[in-house]
Amino acid sequence: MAKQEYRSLFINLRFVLCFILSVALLFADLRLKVLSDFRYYIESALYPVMLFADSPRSISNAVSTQLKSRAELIAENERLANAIFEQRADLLRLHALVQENAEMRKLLNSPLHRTSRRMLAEVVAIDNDPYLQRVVVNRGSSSAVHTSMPVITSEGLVGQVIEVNYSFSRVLLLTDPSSSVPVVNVRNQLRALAEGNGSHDELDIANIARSADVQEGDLLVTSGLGGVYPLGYPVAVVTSVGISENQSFAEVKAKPLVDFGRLHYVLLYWYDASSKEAEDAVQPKEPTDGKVLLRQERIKRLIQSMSNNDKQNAPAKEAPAVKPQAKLNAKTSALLSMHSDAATLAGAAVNAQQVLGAQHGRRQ
Amino acid sequence: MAAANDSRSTYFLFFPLLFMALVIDIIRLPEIINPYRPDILSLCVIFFATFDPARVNIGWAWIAGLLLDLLTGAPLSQHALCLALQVFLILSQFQRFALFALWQQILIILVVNLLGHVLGYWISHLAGQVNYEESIAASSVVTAALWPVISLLCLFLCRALNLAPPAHKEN
Repeated sequence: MAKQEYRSLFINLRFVLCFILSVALLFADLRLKVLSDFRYYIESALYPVMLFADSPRSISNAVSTQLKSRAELIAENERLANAIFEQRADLLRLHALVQENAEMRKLLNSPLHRTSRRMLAEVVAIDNDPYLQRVVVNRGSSSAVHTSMPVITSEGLVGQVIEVNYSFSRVLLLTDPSSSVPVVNVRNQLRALAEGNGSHDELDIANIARSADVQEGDLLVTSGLGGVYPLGYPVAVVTSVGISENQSFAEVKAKPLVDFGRLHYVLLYWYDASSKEAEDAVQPKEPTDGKVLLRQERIKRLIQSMSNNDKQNAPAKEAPAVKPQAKLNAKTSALLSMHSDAATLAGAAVNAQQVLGAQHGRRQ
Repeated sequence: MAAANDSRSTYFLFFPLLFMALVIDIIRLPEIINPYRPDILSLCVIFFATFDPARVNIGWAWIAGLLLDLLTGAPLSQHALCLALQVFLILSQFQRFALFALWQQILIILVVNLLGHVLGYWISHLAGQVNYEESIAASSVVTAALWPVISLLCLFLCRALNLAPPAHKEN
C-alpha cells in the first residue's frame, strides 16, 4: 500500500500548493491591486466568451422580432407614431422650460447645469455570483467610459460603473450590498442613503430616525451629494416603513424603479461634479445694479479720503485705523461683488471715518 | 497504460466540456431561478477527476475556477479555491468514488458542493461583499440532483468517443 500513501501525499501536496497560490492571488488582487492590469487584458480577451454566453438570449430576441405579424407591426407603428407626436409636443414645452430654468438660475446666481453626454449600452452578461449584483455592458475604455460613471435607464437609476475593460465594463447595481446612493425624498426633501441588500428588488434606507416623516409610496430621487450621481434621477419608491421599539432607527425598505431582472439597454452618463464642469458652466451674472455700483464708488471714495487723511496725520497714532484700512484696500482690489461683503465694508469704512473725524475734532 | 495507445486522451472531451460548463455558468437566467443555478462546472470537473485522476486533477480544477473568476469578475481565485477544495475532498476522502452507489454519490456531491459554497461565502466576506442569503444551500441541492444526469452524459460521451478507460481498471 506504499503506492496508495504516495498517491494521497501527492494529492495533499497539490492541494497545499493550490491553496498557497490562491491565498497569494487573493491578497494580490484584493489588497495590493497589482493584478488590475492583468485582469484588464485577460478579461478583455475573454469578452467573446461572454458574448457567446449571451447568444441564446440575443438569438431568441432576434427570432421573436423576425416573427412578428404584420398586424402587430402596424399596431406598434401607430402606437409609436402617437408617442412621438405627444413627446414632440412635450419637447416644445421642455425647451421653453429649460430656457426659463436657465434664466431663473442666472437670477439666483447659481451655475447652470448643462445636459451631459450620454451613450446607449447593451447589457451582455450578468455576474451570477449570488453575493454580487453586477452586470456587464458592451462599452469600455474604447468608448471613453470611466469608472464611477452613473448608469441610468428611462425608468430610473441603475448604478455606477466600477470596472472598465477595453470593450466592456462592469456596472455595480444599486442592489449590491456594497452600493449606497445618496437620495432625497421628493415629498419633503428628507435626505437619506439607499443601500443595497443583495436581493434584486429591494433597497434598505439606512439611518432614518423613527420620528422622520417617511411614508409608503414616497419617491426617492438622487440628491446629487457625493459627486457620483447627478441630481434628481428617480431611484426607488418606499414600500414599507417598520418602526420597532427596540431599534433606534426605523426600518425602511424601498423598491427600485428599474426592474433589474429585465435590464436590457442602459444609458451611460458623463457626469462630472468636479471643478472642470463648474468652470465650463455658464458663469452667473455679476450683480451690476445701480445701487451696488453706487455703493462701491462710495467705498472707494471713502478709502481715498481716509488715505489722504492718513498722509496728513502721524501714522503711528492711527494704528488701529490703519489695519482695517489695509484690509479694505486688499478687498476692494479683489472684487466687490458680494452684497454682504460690500455692506460690511461700507459699515467698516463709515466707522473708520467717524473715528478719524472725532480725532480730528479733538485735535482742533 | 496499454489502453492509452488505442484510445484518445481525456482532454479530447474535457476541454470542450469545460468551455461549455463555463458558458452555462455565466449564461443569463431570470432572477427568480438564478439562486438555484446548478454548478455545472464543479460537476464536470469532479466527473473527470474521478474518471481519469491521472490527467484531470486539482491543478485543472484550480485553473477552471480561475477562468470562472475572470469571467464573473469575482475576486481572483475565489472559485478556483472552491473548486480545488471540492476535487481535493473527493480525491482524498472518497478514493473509490466511482464505485459508490448513485445515491451515495449524490449525497457526497451535496456535502462537498455545500462546503465549497461556504468557502466561497467566506472569501466573499473577506473581500468585503457581505451578504447572507438563505438560498446558499439551494444551489447545492440542485447541483447534487443533477449529478446523475451529468455523470451519465459524460460517461456516455466518453464511451462514444472511445476515451481512456477509468483508472480503477488498473487495480
